[in-house]
Amino acid sequence: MNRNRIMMIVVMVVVAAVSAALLGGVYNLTQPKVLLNREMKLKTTILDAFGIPYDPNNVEQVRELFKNSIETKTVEGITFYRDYVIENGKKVYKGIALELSGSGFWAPIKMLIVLEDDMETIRAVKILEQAETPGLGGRMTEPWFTAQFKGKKIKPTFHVVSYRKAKGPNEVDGITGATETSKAVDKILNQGTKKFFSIVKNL
Amino acid sequence: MADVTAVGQATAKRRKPRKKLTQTQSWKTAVRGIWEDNPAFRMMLGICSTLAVTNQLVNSMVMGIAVTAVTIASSVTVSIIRNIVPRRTRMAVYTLVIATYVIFVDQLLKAYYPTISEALGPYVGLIITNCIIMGRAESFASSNSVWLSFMDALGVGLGYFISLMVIAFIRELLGFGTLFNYNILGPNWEPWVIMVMAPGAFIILGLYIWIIRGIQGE
Amino acid sequence: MNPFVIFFAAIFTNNIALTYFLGMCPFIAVSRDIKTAYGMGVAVIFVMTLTAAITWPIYHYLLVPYNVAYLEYVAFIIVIAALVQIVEMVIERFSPTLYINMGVFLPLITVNCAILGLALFMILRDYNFIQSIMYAIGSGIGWLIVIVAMAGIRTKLIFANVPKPLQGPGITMIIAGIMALGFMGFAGIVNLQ
Repeated sequence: MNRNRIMMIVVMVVVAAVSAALLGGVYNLTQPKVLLNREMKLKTTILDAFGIPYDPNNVEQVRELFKNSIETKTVEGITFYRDYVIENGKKVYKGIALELSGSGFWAPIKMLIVLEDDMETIRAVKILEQAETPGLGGRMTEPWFTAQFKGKKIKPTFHVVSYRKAKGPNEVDGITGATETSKAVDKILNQGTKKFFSIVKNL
Repeated sequence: MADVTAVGQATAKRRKPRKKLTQTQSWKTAVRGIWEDNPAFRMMLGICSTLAVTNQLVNSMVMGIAVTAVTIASSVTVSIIRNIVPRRTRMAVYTLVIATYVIFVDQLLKAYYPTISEALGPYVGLIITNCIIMGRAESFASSNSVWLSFMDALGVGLGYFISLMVIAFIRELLGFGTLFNYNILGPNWEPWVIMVMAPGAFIILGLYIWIIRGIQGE
Repeated sequence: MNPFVIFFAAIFTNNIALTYFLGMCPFIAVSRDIKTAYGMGVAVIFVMTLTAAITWPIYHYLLVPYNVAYLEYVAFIIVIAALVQIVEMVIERFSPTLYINMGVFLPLITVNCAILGLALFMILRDYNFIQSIMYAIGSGIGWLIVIVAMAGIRTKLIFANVPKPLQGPGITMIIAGIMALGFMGFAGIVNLQ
């Protein structure tokens, strides 16, 4: 192996090593914050969905509230959260939120759907994770989109309508210009809730 | 009296006249990146991110700053190591350098500005392949001093930033009726959704290129 | 998700160049004549498929188990750079004319954001190996179709009266916009879920 080849490999290895070391350092420094952000996002979204007030800057308070008023359960791959209060020493459930996910246009979409006691009327829909086109599908996180779902009915089927205006209690409007994302949301909601209803007959 | 003037004249001749700032090579290098060698309108570099983020001014601003930062960091680094890197591996080495800085920025955004990180999506990672950065590293930083590389990167970054903002101005205004998320055109404005989507991006960029090149008079 | 649906979608409804804006720089530079565009397109298909084939196992069997998933960008870039180097040597060996025609654009495949983008999407969407390969081949073909179509149009454009400042990149962008509009018509043909 002549000198040039050796130099090539040496330089590549050195640069790669320095790069990996630097990144490892940055990663270790920032990862705790990234994980905290993720945890806070999940917990505050769920608290929001149930209408429980909190101080967004108080991490401990959010954690306390979550621990004391939300029960998390996972049945056959579906995670759901139940909002409860303690009355006479027993848990009384006030609401239920399902965590549904599926593929979007770019990447998986994760959302929460909060149902009323009748297991049919939607109280709220919140987006947990999405990576859709900024300005188009990404707009699903905007209040105007998620607010549409309040009071709508998930049974027998639900539609996110893209090609005309939504009408009736089983439809909401999709996002103009983001048909694929709208269809993804439609599918995730329908498939997720159907699966949930089929595996949990009584709660 | 004559002695004083003679001394005065002699001193004046010995002292070189200070160059105007705008005449220095560093200044010219920087300015070139903003106008004559504007990456998006003239050199056709960094098109992918330009098309993707310019449907909103906020995202464009973040992308512009991020790209400028990474270009400066990469160009400076490449310039420092330019004499040690063997010819055959230079593209790979430069790419590694650029990738390191990009991931650095990506992690910082994820940790301290998570909403922006989410809004920019996968395009932050794609800054690595943003041909502007590689282009400047390869064609300038690899054969110029650290200071000039810095100025070049700064100029090109600034030029890119400006180009992003002017495109986003039109796209966000027509596509959403807003500027920086503030409603400008009122509630009765029927948004031109096409401006927010791919075709609008291509066409607005094409029109800008027409105008800019027309002004520059090829 | 059916791999063939992914394949079909990657070509038409989710075309990597016209829907996701990836691979734009070489798209403008190499779409001047059909032969070079075709050569570039084939090289891209080849590099994309190999990239998917190599980076998938690296990510799932090396990076994730050792908890260094954040090094994915670095690892992928190294793989792509190496692959492009190999492709360059192969083309130089088997078709010197093509090699000369493609010139500096060959090493530029390394920074073709479509390739890195493809690897990242493959991970982001959690495709299995077969799906990833179909996705890669489909994306490559989709990119090739678009760049060759663009080259065909630009060849005809030589006889049109394009204003001077609009010639070259300007008119290419506008045509790309119209093509993107056209491809939007494919939306809904396949249900991508």
